[in-house]
Amino acid sequence: MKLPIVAHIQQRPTLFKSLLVVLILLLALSVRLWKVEYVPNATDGDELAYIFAGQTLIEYGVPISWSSHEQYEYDWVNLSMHSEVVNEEMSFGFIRPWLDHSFLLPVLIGGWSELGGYEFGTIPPALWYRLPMVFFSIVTLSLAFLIAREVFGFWPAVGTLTLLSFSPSFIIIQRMVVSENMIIMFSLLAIYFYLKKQSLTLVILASVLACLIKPTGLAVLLLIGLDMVFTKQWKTLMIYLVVSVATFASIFALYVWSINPTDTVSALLSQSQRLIGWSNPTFLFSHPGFQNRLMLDFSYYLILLAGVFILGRQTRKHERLIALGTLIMLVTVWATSAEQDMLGWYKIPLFTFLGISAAKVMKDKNYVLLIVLLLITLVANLGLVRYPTHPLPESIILRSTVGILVLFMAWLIYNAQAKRIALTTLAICFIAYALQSFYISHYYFSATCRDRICPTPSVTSVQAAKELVSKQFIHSFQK
Amino acid sequence: MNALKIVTYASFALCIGALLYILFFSQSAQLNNRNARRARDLELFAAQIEETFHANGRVLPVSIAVLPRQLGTAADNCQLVTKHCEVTVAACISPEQIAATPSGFLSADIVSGTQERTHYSVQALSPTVIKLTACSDEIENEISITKDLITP
Repeated sequence: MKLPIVAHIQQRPTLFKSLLVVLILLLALSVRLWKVEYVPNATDGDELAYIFAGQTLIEYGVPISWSSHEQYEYDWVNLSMHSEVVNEEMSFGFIRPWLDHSFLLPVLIGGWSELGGYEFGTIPPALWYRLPMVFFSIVTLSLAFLIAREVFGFWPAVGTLTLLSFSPSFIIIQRMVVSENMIIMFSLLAIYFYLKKQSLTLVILASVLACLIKPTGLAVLLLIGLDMVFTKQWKTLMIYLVVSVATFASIFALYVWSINPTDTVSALLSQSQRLIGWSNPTFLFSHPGFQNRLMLDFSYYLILLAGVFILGRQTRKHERLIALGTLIMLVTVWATSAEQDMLGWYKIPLFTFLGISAAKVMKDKNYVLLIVLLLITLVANLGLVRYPTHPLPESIILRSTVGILVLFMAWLIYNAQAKRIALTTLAICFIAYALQSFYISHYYFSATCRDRICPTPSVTSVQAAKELVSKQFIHSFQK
Repeated sequence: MNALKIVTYASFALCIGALLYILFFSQSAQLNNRNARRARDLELFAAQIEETFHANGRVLPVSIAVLPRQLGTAADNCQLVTKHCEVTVAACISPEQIAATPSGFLSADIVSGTQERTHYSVQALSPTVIKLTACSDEIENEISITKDLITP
């Protein structure tokens, strides 16, 4: 006998599928908003660099911010900032003009700060300035889902969406104001238009936006361009590359010309002198997490291992495009980041592609691989919220858990043909993975900051909600 | 799909519009903001000099004299001729010379450059009165403050 809800679902599969995707996206939004102001550390310097540049570009007509590159000739002033939004005094040595990055993200995030009333000299609360990034993260996740659905089908795409939506390190990094979060959003947009054979103008516009965020966005031109080469679309290739590069170069040149062309060339040369090295991939993959410190999150390896699976076998043209994209994003991060410099967010585009590629595992019905990786993630990630003061797990508990896990995995391997069991286990694992991400989001800050002083926000979502409720209450009382 | 198309066109239009607005259509407001910042900088410099003056037993730092001098960290080439300033002394006055407790605050640009760059000059009108001026070719109406360090 079927449950009424099952009958309902079978009658309206499209509606059910849409509701499922909306539910996952809403959960993804919730987990990103939960304690958004705490992790990554409130008022992270790398985020503030964009905010200051945007505020000053809007207010003074010239970008001023701090830089990790030594550019003494552009020293401007060492300023103490109004940093009441965090439990520490903050001052920065500024350079003027600041040309470490393009204008688009600074204008966007600086404009958002100004909109909230935070002018240059005042640091906006993380709760405020991270809101646009959370919104963009949902757009990115939606595009990753749409591309995966187009290439691999609906259910594998749901797998991609779940993997990316509830990976703790992905949740944290997608809150952060860094260029790569925007580059990947516009890159996926361009790729989706390309896959759906939409007008070339749309592909070009989305590609140019990705490039305008940061020149590493040019990777999307390489990806789509190479696909056009391999599929022998010579005329389209020429138009796409020439128009995209010319549009990007013209807009960037306009900005540079109005600020200072000589200074820009000098800053770009300085930026290009990063300590790149042969061993970058080894370094990058040996350092899980997307911030500038380690985060021992196994979902990082879950996405990596499930994602590289696509390189082994592609059966359709579009699958080859996703495999190519994964390689190009790897090459981009290999060629632009440093062997010993942990700027983890450089890996965001690569891991987003790996997440999309992971749908191939589901499409090829390699459920056991996913289940094994998910189970390891579920157990290993308990360590993410283990307080330094917590005792280590007793050996009998740890070894019993691991032993049972191994036995279960072994049973699955020998019973992989039991598709129903495998699918049910996979669904349960995905649900547990999603729920665990909320648990981790809630406790991660207190767990990591128990034995050290972390930047702690003084403007919090709970406090903002309380103020809103009390204002509403007073308002209704006055009425 | 239509929503995505609209968002793409709108994002691109917004990007270009914002850039053009910031670069070309809000110059007057930006100039006012820069001038307001210059005025604030002068107040800060004056406060630092006042603090040093009192810490030295009501004596001005020796580097502040009748002839205007530029505030800056450069050792020479500090001569300056703008609409409202004429500095003939080659050496700058460094922040250490005017601050009793070095705060690291120095808003003067240390390289010559584009028109809107600001330099600041200071001169002693009397042993207890100083005049600070913001120097930049883009400043139309003089931005300066005269401060009596004894009488508020």
